[in-house]
Amino acid sequence: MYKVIIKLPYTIEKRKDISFLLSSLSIVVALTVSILAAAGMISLYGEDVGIVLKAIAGGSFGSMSALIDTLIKATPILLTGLATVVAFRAKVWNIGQEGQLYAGAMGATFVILTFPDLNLPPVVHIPLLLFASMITGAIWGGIPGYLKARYNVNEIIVTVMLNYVIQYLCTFLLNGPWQEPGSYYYNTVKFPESSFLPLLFDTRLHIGFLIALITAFLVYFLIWKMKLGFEIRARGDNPVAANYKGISIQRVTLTTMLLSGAIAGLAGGVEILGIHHKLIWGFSSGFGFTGILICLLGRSHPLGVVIASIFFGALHNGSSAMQIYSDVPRSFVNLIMGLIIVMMLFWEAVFKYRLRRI
Amino acid sequence: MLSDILQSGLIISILATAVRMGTILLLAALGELIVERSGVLNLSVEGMMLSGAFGGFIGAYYTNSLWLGVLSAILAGLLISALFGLLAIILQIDQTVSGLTVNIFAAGLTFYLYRTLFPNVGATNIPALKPFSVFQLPFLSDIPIIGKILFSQYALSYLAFFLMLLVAFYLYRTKSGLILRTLGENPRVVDMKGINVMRYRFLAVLFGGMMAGLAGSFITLASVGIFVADITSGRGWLAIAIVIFGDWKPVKILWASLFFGFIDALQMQLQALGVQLPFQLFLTMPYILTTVAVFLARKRSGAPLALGVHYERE
Repeated sequence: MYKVIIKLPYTIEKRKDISFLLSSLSIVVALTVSILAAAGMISLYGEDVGIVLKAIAGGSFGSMSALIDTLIKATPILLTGLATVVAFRAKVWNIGQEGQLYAGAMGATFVILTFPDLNLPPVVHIPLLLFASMITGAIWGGIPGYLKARYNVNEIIVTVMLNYVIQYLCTFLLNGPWQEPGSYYYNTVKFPESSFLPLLFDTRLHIGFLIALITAFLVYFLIWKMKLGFEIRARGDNPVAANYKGISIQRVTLTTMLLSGAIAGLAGGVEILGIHHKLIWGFSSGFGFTGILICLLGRSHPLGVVIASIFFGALHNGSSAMQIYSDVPRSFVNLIMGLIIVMMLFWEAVFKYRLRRI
Repeated sequence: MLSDILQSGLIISILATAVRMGTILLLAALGELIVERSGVLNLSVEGMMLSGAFGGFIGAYYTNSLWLGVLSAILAGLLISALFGLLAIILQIDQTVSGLTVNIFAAGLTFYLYRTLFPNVGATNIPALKPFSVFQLPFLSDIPIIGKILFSQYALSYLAFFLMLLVAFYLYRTKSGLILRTLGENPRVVDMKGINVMRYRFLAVLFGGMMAGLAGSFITLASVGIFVADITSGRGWLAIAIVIFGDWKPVKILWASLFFGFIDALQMQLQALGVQLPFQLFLTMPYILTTVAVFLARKRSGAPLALGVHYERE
């Protein structure tokens, strides 16, 4: 009995550092593998892969109006993605963007419905409403933030639970005191015109997209140029060392959650003031959860988040065209989204190792 | 109103529902207990449970056998947990990030598969199957009151209680259970004994996945008989909270599960009774109480020391 032992002249070892180039390469590989997998699955439907991919591309970037739609779709998830960046950079695990987004939308609605006769010019009215969104979003993020900071209560579970609480609260209001009189559906009355977000270049694109881009820049500035940003990163990288440096971990935790909640709240306000012009049930198709995905895909960097959100906006938009031109259902995109993020984590981890000649 | 609630028939019905809803949570929480005791923080319970609910429904729908459905639910949970294990244990990616990613993946996958298999589902023609009926234990179910509450349950509920005893026995009375508990406290000791830390943890994760899958099948196969997106509605997260509230101990986890099951049952029954409060407020009860529960449990000391920390050999 012989045992055959093949000895390869290589060994696997862990890299000390992963370079920017390799990190980018892992994203490229992940996207390539995901697209190939997607193409393979499309062909399982008996569809021509080329036609379907062309439909997706055409539906998302093919024309001016398609491009505008893509940017509109990207707006809320860009903001929730940024909310996630702020939290995850500090390793404060905020999973409550969905709830904070609802809180934000409800905050703006509350101000509109409580003061119907304000007659403010849009220049004042809109900032006021968006500010209200940020405040209510911050409150909804601040509750788990306070519980975490003061009592070390697990923020993941609390934020997830509060997501459900606020959504039921929202249906209650839309089915009760806030419901449009005589309406059959879960929605409020139409908001006054002074609350509508102005449109850009005579298109459907509202200034919410610009607001989101500015927020992205501000988040970048905050995290890399400001003291609070340094503290946020310090908490995330090494809380023990940060504590020794005299940074109050509790204060940073609470501030992070307030900020993250405010940005997610802003997303809610922008979405209803820019698109629906009323609070309507189902205005968010999981924007908060997509934000987490966007953040992970964008490497927790504002620029990455901008790119990832436009990419996802395009995917969502293109999926409608895909459904029209082929038998592939829209929900295919949900699968691809999940696949891309798994692939990215996978390849990034794999690239952390290298083969070395013995 | 109050006299209605106090009617014994109603109380029995609430308690019986509490046991039923509680066992769903118990199954998932027992799985998570084993995983966390091995030192792995698995946040993908929701995704594994959802996959189980889906796998169970599909399996039963196509084979016309509820038990084959249960089997396929376990398999679905197993597969998803293997993905989590690959990311979190083998590739050593941050456990929180891995868990969240797997949840997103499972939600996308189940939603896509469901829509692919049933392309024309609207609000009215949701595919349904006939769920399990209760299995009355002979003689025991004839005991007044208690028989109705405890011994007129689904077969899966009895299985859950049995599994609770089994998990407790395993953790505290077997050598392997001792190793598992040590893994969660100080993996280096286990490694020095020549035991493969990663393999042990991976197996624990797979067990957690099977249990979460089983719990998921309970929802579609013993409760409602249909599948919709997000049908688990946060119960996976509840299971994680129960492990914390139950101080990482099997018997306490049993009580915690029953308590949350009771809240769920109360919510359903009060709603059915037409208590003059908006039903949405009842629906928030389990979530608010979970928040209160993790708050109350903040000083619990049973958390494994190495929970959520990757083990690297020197």
